[in-house]
Amino acid sequence: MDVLARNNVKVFGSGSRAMVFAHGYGCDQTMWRFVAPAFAETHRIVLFDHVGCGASDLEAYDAEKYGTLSGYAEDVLEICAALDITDGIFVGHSVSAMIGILAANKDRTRFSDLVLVGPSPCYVNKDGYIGGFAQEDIDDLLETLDDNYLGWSSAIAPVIMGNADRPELAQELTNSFCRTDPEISKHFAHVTFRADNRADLQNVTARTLVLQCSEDVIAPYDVGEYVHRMIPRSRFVMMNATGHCPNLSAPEETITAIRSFLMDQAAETRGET
Amino acid sequence: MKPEPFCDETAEELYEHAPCGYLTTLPDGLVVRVNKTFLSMLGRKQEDILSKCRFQDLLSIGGRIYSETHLMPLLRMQGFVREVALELRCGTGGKLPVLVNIEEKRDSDGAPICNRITVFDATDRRKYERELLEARRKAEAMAAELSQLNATLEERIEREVAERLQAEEALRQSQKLEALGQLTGGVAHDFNNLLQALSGCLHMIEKKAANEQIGPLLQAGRHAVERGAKLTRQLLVFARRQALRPEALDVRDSLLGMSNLLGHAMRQGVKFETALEPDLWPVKVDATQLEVALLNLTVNARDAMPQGGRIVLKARNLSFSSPEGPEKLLGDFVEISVADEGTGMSPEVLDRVFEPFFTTKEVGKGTGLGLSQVYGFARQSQGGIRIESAVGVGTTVSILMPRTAERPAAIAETVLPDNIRGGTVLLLEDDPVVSAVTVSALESFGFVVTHAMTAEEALAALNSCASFDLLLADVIVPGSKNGLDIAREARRMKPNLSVILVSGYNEAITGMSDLEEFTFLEKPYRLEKLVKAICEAIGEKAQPQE
Repeated sequence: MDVLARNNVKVFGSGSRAMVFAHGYGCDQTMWRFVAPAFAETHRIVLFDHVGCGASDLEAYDAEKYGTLSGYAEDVLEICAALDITDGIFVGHSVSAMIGILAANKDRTRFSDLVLVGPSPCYVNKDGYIGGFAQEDIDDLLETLDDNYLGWSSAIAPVIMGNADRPELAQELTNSFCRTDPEISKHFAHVTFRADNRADLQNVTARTLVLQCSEDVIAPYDVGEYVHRMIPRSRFVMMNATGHCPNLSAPEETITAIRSFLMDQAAETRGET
Repeated sequence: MKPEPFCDETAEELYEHAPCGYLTTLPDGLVVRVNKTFLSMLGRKQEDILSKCRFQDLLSIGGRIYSETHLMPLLRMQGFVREVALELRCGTGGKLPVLVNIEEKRDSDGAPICNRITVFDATDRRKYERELLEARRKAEAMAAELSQLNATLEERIEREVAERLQAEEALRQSQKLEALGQLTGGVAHDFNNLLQALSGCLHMIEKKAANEQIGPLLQAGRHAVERGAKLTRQLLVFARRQALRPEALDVRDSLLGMSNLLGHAMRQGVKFETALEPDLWPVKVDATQLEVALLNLTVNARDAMPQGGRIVLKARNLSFSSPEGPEKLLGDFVEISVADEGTGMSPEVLDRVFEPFFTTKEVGKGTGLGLSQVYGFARQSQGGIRIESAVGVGTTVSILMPRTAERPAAIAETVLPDNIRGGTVLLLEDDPVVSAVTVSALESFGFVVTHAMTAEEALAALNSCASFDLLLADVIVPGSKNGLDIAREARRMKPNLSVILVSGYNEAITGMSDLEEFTFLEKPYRLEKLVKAICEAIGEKAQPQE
């Protein structure tokens, strides 16, 4: 199996350290189009699509394997192995922040630095933990997604009645970015919004940057702060950017925050303080 | 000239009352302008929205998540989104399905200035989508049902084919047995006549031989003839040509009556049990044949258990509302079954068990006629037979006998007269040996016998001046009429004439309704029995005259 083809891996830039950018739920590697190139002069940039998203190999989609975030983390480690990445920097947005943590915890040689953009270990409020959503909110989201009442799928009736050979047709018509297979997207939503990886945070040994946006509906301040609190040696940066996608809405601020973090880490590695 | 009414439409009016909601937001979603159509769609007030909330805040939770994860990234990347289905939260608390288009307005550097959003009420569209989804669910359910039906269909066809094959096999088996029956019937008939002759010869030898020493030999000869006669009776039963005397009987009485007989068939180590259902219906079968059949089954069961075991005899009522089994039995039946815990039979053996002379017993231990008799008896009684067997488990044979509405009646014992006064007898018998022996024997008892070979000869004799006390006629004789016809004719001509019918090949008389008015003897008969029957018949007629 060609891992690089499966995950539509793109590699560019020059530098001794690799920077692996992972997109979150709902999009693909084009998410990083305003951010990743900024690091190409100093790093080896690795972009990829999770299986089921973007231009990944849909045939490789296995509902059982991708029934948990660990399945996606395995893919990340396979990509690392294929590209021989060690001591790399993992930049994960949204759900991929957790995928990166799982990968880094499983094989500690691959990533020495984690950049978590809008991370959330658990979206549902429980046991006194504030995840931002009540269980019924998540249930409502997943039900509406299941019935194709959200987004583009329902906008074209034939999609409901069949068109099984080209379910992505509806999106292709209007969207040139972030194409996802509707069925896989639904499953990904279930896996993402039902995940609870709080217990994995304390095991992180990589140096970690938590980038928190203002007014992020998906990952509110409390959640980002929790992640920072639970991960040893983590740095927390509160951004001016609003929403859940600072990599798109505020790429400059995002780049600056990451660059600053990496420079400090490099200095630390060199023994400066 | 008066301006047309639409001409006074201003841009402001068009904006406020356009047939779609219209908003302008800052790049972060904060609403800075909104038209009246949008406000009325949502049932909200301008002052609650303007500069106070973001467009995302007006979405349902699911819509908000979807917007953040899909919509906004896309908008930022391609500058627009088209026909996105979302849900807005109404002022009243409900949700409004909408279709949303968003256009991002950018400055010359490409930096976003604001978003222009049109919102279309998609309530009807959502309803239509629901109907489509429902239709799809139904279609999927029907497809599943159809595939289920298809699966069942295959199963049903398989079952049908298996049943058809089984029926064909049963037909083949019954045809084979039918052919064997015809062959057996014919052989038994001829054999019977030979035995009759032999029986007569033995009798004559006894009468005429002075040597006392031949007594034991004669006795042995007579035993041999009796055994031969029994054998032919069994063959005839299998061939279903034995004249049955079906009578209404209570199965329990029959079993009680033969308990001694069955007991004798037992031996040490074999336990005999009965399980009789209460209120068994009466059946109409030949009592003797039933006894023989049960004896055959019991002996078979016993022989199947050389190491000993249990024989269970059961009787129960059964009703078939649809044709059952190869005989297509319909209605009420009484089933008697005999089960053993013996060696059982292989399918190959089971296939042949009803064939006459087929036996698995050692030479000299079985005739191979036991189950043939049971089969013939059951079939001739308009019943059926079932056999189940497994090697090492045992065998169960069941006889199904039709229920009768008649009440079982006790059989009256006949008392025979012991004085022989002689008389005139017209004998109608075509077999030269049988007739010769019979004539000779009757004459030795003082009877005057006229022998007729054919029906015509017998009629001629009856029409002559000669007077007869008795007509002794074989039922099956050559000529245009049978023995029964002659008997009826004779009775009509001479109402006081006594008649005895004999037959060893009794297919013809089965079902003859008026057989009861004549005395009937089965061939081969012992001469003493014949003489007694003749004396009795003549005596009965003579008595009123005395």
